Amino acid sequence: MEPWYDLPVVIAVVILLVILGMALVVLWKIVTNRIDLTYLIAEPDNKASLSRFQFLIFTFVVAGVFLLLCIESGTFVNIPDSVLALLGISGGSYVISKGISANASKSNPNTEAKGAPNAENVEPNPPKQA
Amino acid sequence: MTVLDIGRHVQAGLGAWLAALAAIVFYQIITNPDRLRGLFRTGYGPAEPERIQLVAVFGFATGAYVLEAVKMLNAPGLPTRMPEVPQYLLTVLTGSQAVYLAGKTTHTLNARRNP
Repeated sequence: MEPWYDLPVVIAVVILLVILGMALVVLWKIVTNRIDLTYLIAEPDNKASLSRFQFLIFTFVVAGVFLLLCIESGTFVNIPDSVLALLGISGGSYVISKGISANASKSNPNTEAKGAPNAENVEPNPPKQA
Repeated sequence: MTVLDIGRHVQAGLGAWLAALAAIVFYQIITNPDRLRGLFRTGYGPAEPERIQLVAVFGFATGAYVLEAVKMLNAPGLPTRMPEVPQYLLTVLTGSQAVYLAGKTTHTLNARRNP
């Protein structure tokens, strides 16, 4: 086999290692809490948001089904308009819900939670302990 | 080993990664009940019916869609597209979201009138 013939395989292996390596690093940081998921479904008032929770579940389900079908067929599968509409309904509901919550917070500033991350109360570089 | 084989390994690896990510995210949510606080109510009152109906409807929609996907995987031949979401399900979901948002708006307006 000529050496130059292996080049696409070598490049593909390198891309495989980079993509999966980055994916594993993200997963490791989530497991060790270096990527904090506390506010994944919570609003700034520290209460869980149902529209965020719903959006999260729909995203995982659609992405999971898409990946499974791609693996099964060996190529990218088509995404029907109805699936995009489903994600759009969920995303639209999340945006409107966030607008309602933001409007409620503006009219009642006392509802903002202490300790929620924002530019004012998060140290950009907390001092490292020896 | 060909480039196509490596592509399949990438797909399988990303599939396993997505499953692991979903498992970790939901494990962290379930084992820390504080993260679900306020999911079914706006303030400190009883659970709100518009939120309960939303959970029921999107739970049903998700389960129905996953079942369609499983049927497609078990069907003979290779899949060429994702399963369609039935029109009636989209209509029910839209109605459910509208009911939830209307309820949320009502609670917000009531809280503003009676702080």
